[in-house]
Amino acid sequence: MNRKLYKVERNFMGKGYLSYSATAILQAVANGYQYGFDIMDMTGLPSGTVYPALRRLEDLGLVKSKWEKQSIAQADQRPPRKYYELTRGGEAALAEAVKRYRLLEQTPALKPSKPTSERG
Amino acid sequence: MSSSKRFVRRFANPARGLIYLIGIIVPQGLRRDWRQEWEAELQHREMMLSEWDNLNWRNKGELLKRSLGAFRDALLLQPQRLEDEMFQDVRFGVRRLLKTPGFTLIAVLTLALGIGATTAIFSVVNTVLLRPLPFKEPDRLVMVRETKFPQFSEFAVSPANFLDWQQQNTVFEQLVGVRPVTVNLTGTGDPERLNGATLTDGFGALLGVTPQLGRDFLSEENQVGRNNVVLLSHNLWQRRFGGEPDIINQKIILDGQPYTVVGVMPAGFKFLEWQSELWIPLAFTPQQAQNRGGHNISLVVGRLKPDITHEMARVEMSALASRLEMQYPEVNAGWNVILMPLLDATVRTIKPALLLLLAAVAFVLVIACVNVANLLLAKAAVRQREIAIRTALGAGRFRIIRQLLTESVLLAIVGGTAGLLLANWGLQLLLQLAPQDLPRVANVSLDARVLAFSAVITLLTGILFGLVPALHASKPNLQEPMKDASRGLTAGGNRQRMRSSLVVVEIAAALVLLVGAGLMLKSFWRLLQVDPGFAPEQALTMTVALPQNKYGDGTRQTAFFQQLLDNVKALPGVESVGAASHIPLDGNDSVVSYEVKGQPPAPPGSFTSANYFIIEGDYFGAMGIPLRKGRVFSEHDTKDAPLVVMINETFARKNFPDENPIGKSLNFDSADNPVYREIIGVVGDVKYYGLDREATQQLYFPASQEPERKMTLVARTAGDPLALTTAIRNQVHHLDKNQPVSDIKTLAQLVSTSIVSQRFSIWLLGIFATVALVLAAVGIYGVLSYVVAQRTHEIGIRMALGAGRREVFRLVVGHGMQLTMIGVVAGLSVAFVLTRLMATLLFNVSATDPLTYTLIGLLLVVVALLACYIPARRATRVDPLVALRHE
Repeated sequence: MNRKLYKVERNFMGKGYLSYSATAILQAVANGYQYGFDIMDMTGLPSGTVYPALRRLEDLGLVKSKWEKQSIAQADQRPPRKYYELTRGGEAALAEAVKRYRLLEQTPALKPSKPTSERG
Repeated sequence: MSSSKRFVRRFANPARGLIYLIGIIVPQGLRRDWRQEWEAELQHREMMLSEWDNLNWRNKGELLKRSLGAFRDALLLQPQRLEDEMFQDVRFGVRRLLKTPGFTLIAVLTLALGIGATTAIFSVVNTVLLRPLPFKEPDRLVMVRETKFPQFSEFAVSPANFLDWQQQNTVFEQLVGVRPVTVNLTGTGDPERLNGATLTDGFGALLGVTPQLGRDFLSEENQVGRNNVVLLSHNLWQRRFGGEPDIINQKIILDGQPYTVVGVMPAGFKFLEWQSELWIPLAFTPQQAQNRGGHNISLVVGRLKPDITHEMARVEMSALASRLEMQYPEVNAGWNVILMPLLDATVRTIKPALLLLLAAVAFVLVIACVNVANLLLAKAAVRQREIAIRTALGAGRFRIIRQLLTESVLLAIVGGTAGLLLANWGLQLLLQLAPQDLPRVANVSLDARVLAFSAVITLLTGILFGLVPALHASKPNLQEPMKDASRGLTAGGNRQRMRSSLVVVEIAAALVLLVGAGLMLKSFWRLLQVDPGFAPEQALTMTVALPQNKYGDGTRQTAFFQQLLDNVKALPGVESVGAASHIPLDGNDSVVSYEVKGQPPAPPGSFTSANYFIIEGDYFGAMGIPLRKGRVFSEHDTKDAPLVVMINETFARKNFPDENPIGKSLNFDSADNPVYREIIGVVGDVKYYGLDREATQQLYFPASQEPERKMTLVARTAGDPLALTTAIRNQVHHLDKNQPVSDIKTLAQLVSTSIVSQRFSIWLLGIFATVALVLAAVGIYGVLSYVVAQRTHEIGIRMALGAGRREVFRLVVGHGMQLTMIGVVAGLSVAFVLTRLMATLLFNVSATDPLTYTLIGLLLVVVALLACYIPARRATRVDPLVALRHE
């Protein structure tokens, strides 16, 4: 078994299942919403929930973060943004959690909200 | 960019300004990334909004709302901040400790000594006093014995009373009588004498122990004629029978009788700390079952019913005893029962000594802590400037205390770890010194509870010795350190007082410990001076117990021993030889009640008793017991000659205060049918129960008139007594090749074994007291050295103004002695109160023995003087010119 996966399962056992909001955030990341603000737009959750949840998910090894390439940020004259991706453990945890929160399956796949975020 | 411009730019956008502000509470290690993430998001969103829509007030408000969420994000990162700072503290602490290796080493060693000694002693206390007995629900096990005479706090139980208890009580699930036995094992290999126990029905259920092999006794096996069955110890099974499983149902020969082995007990099984190697059912003949006057069941162990408390059981059993007293007034008058939890009964003899050692070692720990606290205070003085600067830069008092405490706890953890190693090592040493009969000593180990204990005391000591210096050093006083440093005079008066009072505490604690050790030492010395009443040097003893079936007849017993003594006497190197049913200090007990012819009988319920010995050959000569009056037994005192008895001086003094006892007669049978024995001689007293006990009344009977199966041989030798062991044993085997001998030891060993627990306590107390004395001396030295260093400037001025070396010397020594005297007075007062608690452990020494108090007080003063000397001398060498420049 993959080590990370094991860690996820242990955390599941130890801390109980992912909360609804954590699952929603994970789902949003899985659907390609990679930045904190986009995830807020997508899920409708406030920033005071999304950021701490992202940090916890990262500690659990369900998501990982990277800094945007300097060149892209420079072109926009702003600091590089931090974006989040699902890990393999995150995918497994999401699949598990979605079974519990059926409703989330109906979330649309990447559909640009008003302020389009650039990717890639 | 100027800072004002940067400020304006940063706060021109309220949302981003807010992120900057909130970032302050984010742990330092995360702060940069955290701010960047939030700022980048905000900037990007602003950009998008201004491109796509427009950055109107509504959108700006929305952004501000989002940035407020950062506050919650930052708050949730706080635990990491603590962790972060703790790491910082620990890192800093480690660096500081490594920077001053000398200080660290001394502090760690001091702590290791304190924590190690405490842990080692605690592990003994834990195993011996605290660990539950290894039986099912051990809290419900109770020892029951009878009690009547003030001189014996408790007594063995008579069979008839025991059987009545068993039938009539309502508080016990099981009640089992136990009587130790020794039997001779013959048939396979060398004959061997084995210790065992006989038990009434219900033994397995009582303890909740089942045999490892075979079965427990059946109820019907507690009947005479069916009780020739035996349970073996694991050790005996391995040792004598090669651990063969087919031992079950085999017959072995004990005392010449065949016994069927029904089971083997599990390895390590031990009951009542007796070194039993086998267990046999205890069966009573109808006649024995009626015996109410002969108390010969050594003790009774019961298992309380689940809801019954000890108190309820005590009340019930007392009521039962009163009923039996009324029912059988002639034999049961005055007899009551005594109950005690089995664990307490097992450890009661050693408990006071162990608690004393634990208290002593706690004193060592306190002294160690005080010493390290003193070192830390001295160090804090050096660091005062550093702390002042950190405070000036905004460090809170809590932050500084935390930093200092982290350092001291760090020190304690290193000290504690070293202490644990020391404890592990010290424990081996301790167990070698420990008396072999110390209950449960074989199981002493560092278990989880001991580790938890030492972890707790480690942390506590870390906080204890760290807190005072930390509180002190962190006082928010920014000016004094600067002033102190510039003045260089008797600086930091407050801290000085603190250090001085710590030294006083240390001296007082050391004194209490030394007084305790001194009293024990004096008590032990008194014990060594005790005349046991016999000459322990150059005498060998060994026990020969003849089996009942082969030597049941008294004539055969006497013949065997007479022949043996004659043969041994003929051996080269043997000066004199005798034998006795038992010898002093061997742990046996024999009591007989008597009546003096011509004196009124003792009132009913009271009891005149004496210890008795049945002797053979030149017992008094071999033991070195002097004859005071009359004659000793001779070959003419045969079975058919008039019955005779010898008494000791105490017996003579008690019963014939102003008369010559020779020619008087004693009766040992019932008053209605007296059989008188004439007193023919008086010998010196011997210490029977222990060197620290009064000599009892003692009687001697000749074996020819009162034959005995089990005798202990005593041979006085010209050379090394142990060299004759084989020769004497061969003489026994020459007479009977199946006859084992046991308990081979010299009389000197017997005496030395009888005081082994006192010796054990003395050794440990002595070590602790020495450590305490050294630590206290180091403490005084440390403080005075520091004072002299601090006062160099002042001393220089004094000398420049005309003070001589002598005055300076007196100044420094005076200061040290002032502290010492306060400590000594405080210590003596505390010792005066505390040593009363150890009064029961002392022999012939009062707990407030003035000589010990005076000598110990003087000893501490002398040691303190020595500790003052070096700093004082250093002070007299101060060169005023150098001192005045001294900063």
